[in-house]
Amino acid sequence: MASFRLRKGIQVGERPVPCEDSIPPGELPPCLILPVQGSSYDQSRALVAPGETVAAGQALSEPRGTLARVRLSPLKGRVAEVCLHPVLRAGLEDGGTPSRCRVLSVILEDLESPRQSPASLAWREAPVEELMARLEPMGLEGQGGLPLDYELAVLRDPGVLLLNAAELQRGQAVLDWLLNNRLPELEAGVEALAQCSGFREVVLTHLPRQKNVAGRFMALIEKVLPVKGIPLKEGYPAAHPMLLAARVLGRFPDPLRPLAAQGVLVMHLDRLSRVQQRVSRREYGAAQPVTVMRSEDDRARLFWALPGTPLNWLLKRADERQDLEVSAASGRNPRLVLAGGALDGAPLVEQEAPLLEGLRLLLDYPAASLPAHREDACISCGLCLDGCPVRLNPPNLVHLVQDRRLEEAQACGLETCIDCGICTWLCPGRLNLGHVLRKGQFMLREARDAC
Amino acid sequence: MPVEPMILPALPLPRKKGALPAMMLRVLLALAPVAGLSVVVYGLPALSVILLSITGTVMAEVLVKWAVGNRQRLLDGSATISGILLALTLPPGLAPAWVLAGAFCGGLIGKQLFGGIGRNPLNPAMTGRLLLALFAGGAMERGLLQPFWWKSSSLLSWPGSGVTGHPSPAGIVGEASRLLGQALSGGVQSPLPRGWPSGSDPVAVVQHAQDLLDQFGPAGLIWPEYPGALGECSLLILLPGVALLLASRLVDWRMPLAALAAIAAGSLSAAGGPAETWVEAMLVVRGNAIVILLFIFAADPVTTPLTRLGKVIFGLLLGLLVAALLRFSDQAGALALALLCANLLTPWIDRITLSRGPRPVSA
Repeated sequence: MASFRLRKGIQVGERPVPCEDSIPPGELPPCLILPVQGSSYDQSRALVAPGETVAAGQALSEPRGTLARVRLSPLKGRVAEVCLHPVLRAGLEDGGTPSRCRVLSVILEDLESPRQSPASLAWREAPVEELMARLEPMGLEGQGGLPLDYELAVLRDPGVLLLNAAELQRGQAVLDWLLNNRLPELEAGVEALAQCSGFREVVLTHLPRQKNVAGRFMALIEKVLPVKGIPLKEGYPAAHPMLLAARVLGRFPDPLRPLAAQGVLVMHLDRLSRVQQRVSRREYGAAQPVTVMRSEDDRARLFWALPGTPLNWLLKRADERQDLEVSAASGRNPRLVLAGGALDGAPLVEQEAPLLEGLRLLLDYPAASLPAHREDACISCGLCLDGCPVRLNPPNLVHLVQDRRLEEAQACGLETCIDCGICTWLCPGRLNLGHVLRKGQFMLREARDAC
Repeated sequence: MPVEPMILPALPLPRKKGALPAMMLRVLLALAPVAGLSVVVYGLPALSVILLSITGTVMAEVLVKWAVGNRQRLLDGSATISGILLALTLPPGLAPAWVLAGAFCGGLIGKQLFGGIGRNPLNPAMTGRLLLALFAGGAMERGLLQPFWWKSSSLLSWPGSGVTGHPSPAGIVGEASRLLGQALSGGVQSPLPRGWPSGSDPVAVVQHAQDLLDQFGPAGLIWPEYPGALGECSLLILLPGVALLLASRLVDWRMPLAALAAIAAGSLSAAGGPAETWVEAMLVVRGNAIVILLFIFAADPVTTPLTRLGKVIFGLLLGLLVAALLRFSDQAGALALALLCANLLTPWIDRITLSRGPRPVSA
């Protein structure tokens, strides 16, 4: 068994890889569902009509309002429908009662390869000032959510490249698989990044139990760039991008500005594998790796899927595998799928929902095997106060938001909540504090937009 | 169809281990050794007091939650803990009816009437203790039993059967110290209480007072030598539980440390003065009760301040109250009163220690 030597003399062995590349990367789904609204508060409108043919990279919508996003078509295709479509549901509210959430979406059919469409990518050549001038009126807020090209464009030079390998155990399958099967792409991604932006430092975060993955990856990128490793004690919540950025910057970043604009580019390894496609080859419509895992055997099945792929299609493909008996015949109905990366986690009651960017893990778990979500009372333990990285008082803010005293909540720093979820993570009463705060932020923005 | 506002799903479904029931279980584990020892030392009456006390607090919880249709977890373990905590402050021979009534009223008035766990301003166990001290002071006094039941009773002794009406150690110390002070200042007021030397000979009074006080040596903190509450058996048996609570951070060490510092300062202020004997003996007699009070009762997060600074202020206030009561009172329920007074100050401490907005962030 091969072994790798980390810095400080730590030697670790290699771990067996449980992933399978079960869907060929070139295979396209029957349709793509592309939400053009970031939320139902978002006033973005579609720029395309049913029956119209769109090119890869063509703008599908005109962003308006806070939290709007630049939505470009990943492939060439025909617009089948522009409608309100279900997306990931809100979360666990009212004891887990499902709520249907629909946002304006463009559904593309008759998808075509090749994915490259250089004519429609002229906007990439625009100077940074022009890019920012186009972004700012859209009301984009938050730490991320920008296309990689934008992030690279606004990255303060010389910036810090933060490679985040600190995932929960379940997400590790993707990293293992990437390192075993996509090594050249990762390497090319690092080189592409190094060429297009001179980083003053490259930081790799990892968990101690992932020394093998981190060690192999460090060995890989050390060839290109000087690497500094940050071992984390636990994946969540220490792996939150804002907290990692605070560690490498030595100060807490402004939660209302993109991290890239503050000098830190956070990259997950799966995103890095797409860098070469996006940056060097100028390809759009790059697929993202998504892992589907079953509760019974914890074995990962890896899919390369385009953002917008219907989740039920992904699950159907998983069903077609003989060793993946996750269909309704297994008696688990309704099937509950948990979606998200290491830091996320929301039940998907609506399987019509599309795969969104950043969604890297689908846990196919029967509802009964999940821990029951039951909220107890706040016992004033103060753990959330101690844990909050921006030193807010979550119980007080929750109280104000629930009373709709938004101005007071704003004065108490509601807007500076970075949505890391640490308060929720720590709460022994299992209160969804972070969820209420996020809701409060939306309500605040809605009130501000109305003004 | 109306469109619901979509909130992007970014909250973690995984939770840190150690939810409320796990916390409660840890507190129960911390209390188990002292409760077990009390059953060994006092026999079935102690077991009966513990079980009845738990029954009373759980009954209050079930009844109120059922009556108001509370959707929270019915039994999260907090009522059980309140019941055990109350039992640890009670004499082992207290009549079952009083135990049940005290636990029920403590749980009802101290907790459930305010909305249950998380909303109670007062510690429910201490509320029950104070109510019993107020309404059943005589029964509490009569409920004191000599430790090591097998020396004076049969194997199957039942609550009340072996009650002999031992005076409370705190009462004895208070009385002896008071008369000792009077004798030393040359003015013993007659008639003296029953059991004291007849006449007003100061030398005889001093001798008797000294004999009485000498029976309460520091060894009583380690080994049950005189009658007391269930939780006052031994300091040694309390320590593992206290260590568990401190190690699992269920108890913030700052608060008991601040309280101990305040008690020490209050006690040292009496050194060399007329109250020295009184305070010394009271510290011995109530030492174990004080440890339980500071490390277990006052660790209840609901009734104590949120912030670390708030906990220190709370500890100092509680320590000063305890020191004052040690100095001036030999009454049962004095420690309960100190804690409840400090509990009532918690909202005020929170108000001055909690900032309104985001606090300054360090790198």
